Amino acid sequence: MSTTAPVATTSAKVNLADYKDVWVFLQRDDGHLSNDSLELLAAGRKVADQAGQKLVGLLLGNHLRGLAEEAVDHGADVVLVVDDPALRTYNTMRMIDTLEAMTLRRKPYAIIFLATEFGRELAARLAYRVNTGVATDNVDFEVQDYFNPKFNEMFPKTLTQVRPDFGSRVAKIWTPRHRPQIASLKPGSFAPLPRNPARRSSAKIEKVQLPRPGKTYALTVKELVELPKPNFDLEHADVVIGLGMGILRGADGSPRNPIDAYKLATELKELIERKWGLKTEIGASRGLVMANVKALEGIITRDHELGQTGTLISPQLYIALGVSGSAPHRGGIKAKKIMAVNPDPTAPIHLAAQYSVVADLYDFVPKLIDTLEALPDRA
Amino acid sequence: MLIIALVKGVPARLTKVVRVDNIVQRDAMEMVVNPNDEKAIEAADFLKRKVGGKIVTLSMGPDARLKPILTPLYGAEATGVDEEIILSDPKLAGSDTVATAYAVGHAVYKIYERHVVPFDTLIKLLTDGASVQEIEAKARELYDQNLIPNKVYNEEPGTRTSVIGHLVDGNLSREETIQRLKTERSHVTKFVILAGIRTADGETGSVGPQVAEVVSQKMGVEVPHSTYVEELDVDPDTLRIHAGRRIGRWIQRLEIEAPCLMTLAPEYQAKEIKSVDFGRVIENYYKGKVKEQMKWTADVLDADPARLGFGGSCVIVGPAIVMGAPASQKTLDKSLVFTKSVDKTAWEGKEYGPFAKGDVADPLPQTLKDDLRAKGALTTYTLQMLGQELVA
Repeated sequence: MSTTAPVATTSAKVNLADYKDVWVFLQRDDGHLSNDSLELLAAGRKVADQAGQKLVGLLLGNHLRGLAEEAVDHGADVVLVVDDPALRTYNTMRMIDTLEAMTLRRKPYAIIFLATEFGRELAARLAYRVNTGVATDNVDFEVQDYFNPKFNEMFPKTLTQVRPDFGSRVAKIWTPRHRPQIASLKPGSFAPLPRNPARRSSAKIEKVQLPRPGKTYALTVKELVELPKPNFDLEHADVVIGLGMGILRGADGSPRNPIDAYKLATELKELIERKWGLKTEIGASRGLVMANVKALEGIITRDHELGQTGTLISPQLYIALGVSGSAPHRGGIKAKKIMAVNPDPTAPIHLAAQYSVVADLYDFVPKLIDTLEALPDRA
Repeated sequence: MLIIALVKGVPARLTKVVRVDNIVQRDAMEMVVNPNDEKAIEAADFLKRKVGGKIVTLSMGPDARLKPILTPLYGAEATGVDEEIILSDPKLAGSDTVATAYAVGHAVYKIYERHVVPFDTLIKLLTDGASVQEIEAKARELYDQNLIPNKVYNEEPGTRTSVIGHLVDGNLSREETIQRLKTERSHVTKFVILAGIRTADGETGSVGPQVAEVVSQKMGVEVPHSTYVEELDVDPDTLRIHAGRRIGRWIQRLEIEAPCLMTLAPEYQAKEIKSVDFGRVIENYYKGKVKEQMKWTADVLDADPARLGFGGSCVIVGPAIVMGAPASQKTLDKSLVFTKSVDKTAWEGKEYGPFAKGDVADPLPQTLKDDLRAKGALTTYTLQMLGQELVA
């Protein structure tokens, strides 16, 4: 059964100068820090350097051997490790209790989570519990003096959180009067720092005891099932071909077998890989994934989903075939070049594309394949 | 089971977001129900069909905009929604997620309180020695207000199986009636809050977990939450929730004691209900839909005014910066591009260029494009050129 909830903190003015260090909540994948976590360390490093503070990595879980050293190698000055069997199943409520206890005791300047399913809920609930704000899905951070004209007040060395806003814009967000400043980082926004084992000599790894070890929760984890890793990697591909709902019909509205579009995409993928050695993967829009098209069963799965609700990608080239390009789709794609193939000239994907092709993909892709085939190979 | 579904009105078109002084002006925009919240209604319907009870939706925003979009949700045939509450007050404008959760959490607590107070009222009448007729009259009033379930009082023809019915018939003593009411009261305490995973406008997904935290602090009991729920079931005997959710490459299966909050993933689909004790479900229903939506102002909430709206917000949102379109955009078989480099060119009092081979000429004045084309400096963008640029 549940125990008593924490008492609401008062909104008394906090002494901003008491809060020091930039914390990042690290997550793991297959016995190592996740690639997203390495990006998070890079983002945290930038904030810590600009604020003139230490970067502290947080590791909460069980059997965490070796992960703290990885965090140091990739930018952390200090790693706080809570390694306890009680944390093995990722019980959200216990994680929040643990983070709350650490936060109240050590008073960090900022805490940055990854904007993953897990990071988002922890950031939000922890923020409310420790009486501060939260800004999610940030793509960049700066530490700056912030002047607010409404309050006519200057807030020195404040974390500027940059996040997408209403789909097509970015907004800057500040948490000027509360600490810690809590944020989540959208994966794919920073490049990991190169591994530097020499950092270990000056770093500190500190073990932290699990707070409230005997506490039981109204939420219990009964089962934790790991899903198989997909045999493709959209995140690190050089070229991504995205398929959208447009593959179900030709430009004249007649039904098409989407398998033919998948075959064309596969042919294009193999051609690009063979001729130019660029790692190419096939993804899909949320619309197509959610449509559960019978002909694509087992071929287009949830792991293929692109955009803010699926895999965030930053390839050199994104080829959108029959994708309309809703704001959440475009918001999850940070490609150097985008080519959009859509017979509807008003489809929003054309707004984001350097190369617009207003045509039926079933006519156009075979011509593109012929054209690319005729080009000379990369020298 | 008391089921509270959080439903938000979001701008119908994200390209037409109206702001004054960086505060979104929700009363000046066309709204739709946040698409993700439809899953909360679907889950609410499922729980109500399986264990009985009552669905109350709670929305925050300008009531003039929210009323018309919530009405269809409320149609007699469409859903099992019994009551709609709109929290509408200019004092709530400019709320960040923390201030929103603060207001919504207090409203959730009020809804809960509205449904336990009737039990306390009846218990008090019983202990104060009120007459059976008086107690029955009060129960009828509460039943008509949709505040106590059929099990406690109902006017179904030919049935007097309710707690108060048994009291009237002399089947239950006063003391036994009090005990039964206390048991039913404790069932109301096991309420469930449901919401979509995130809103289509703010996209933070933060308000759900924060509402759970507000309600925890209000009730003095930790109200757990689970986000991204894809599988949902309830044990009608214990009211214990079984939920499954996907976090990254993991499926986590949870057992949750109510009161609790869950946000439903778009992948959620209500399970088929194979067998159910209809008698029990009907006993747990309330009288039915209240015709009018209820508008609540901030005063209803018993909240600290300093924590509401813009003043109660922790974060400040700066002006939005529009992300520009790509620097150069070329349309196959339509765009004009330079066939060679061209130096700076003065044309009708303005200067253009310089241009390199392959640059797009579409934004230039028509007369200049005609002139350049006549000189052979422009050509239509071909598939050959596109192919080369793609792999460059």
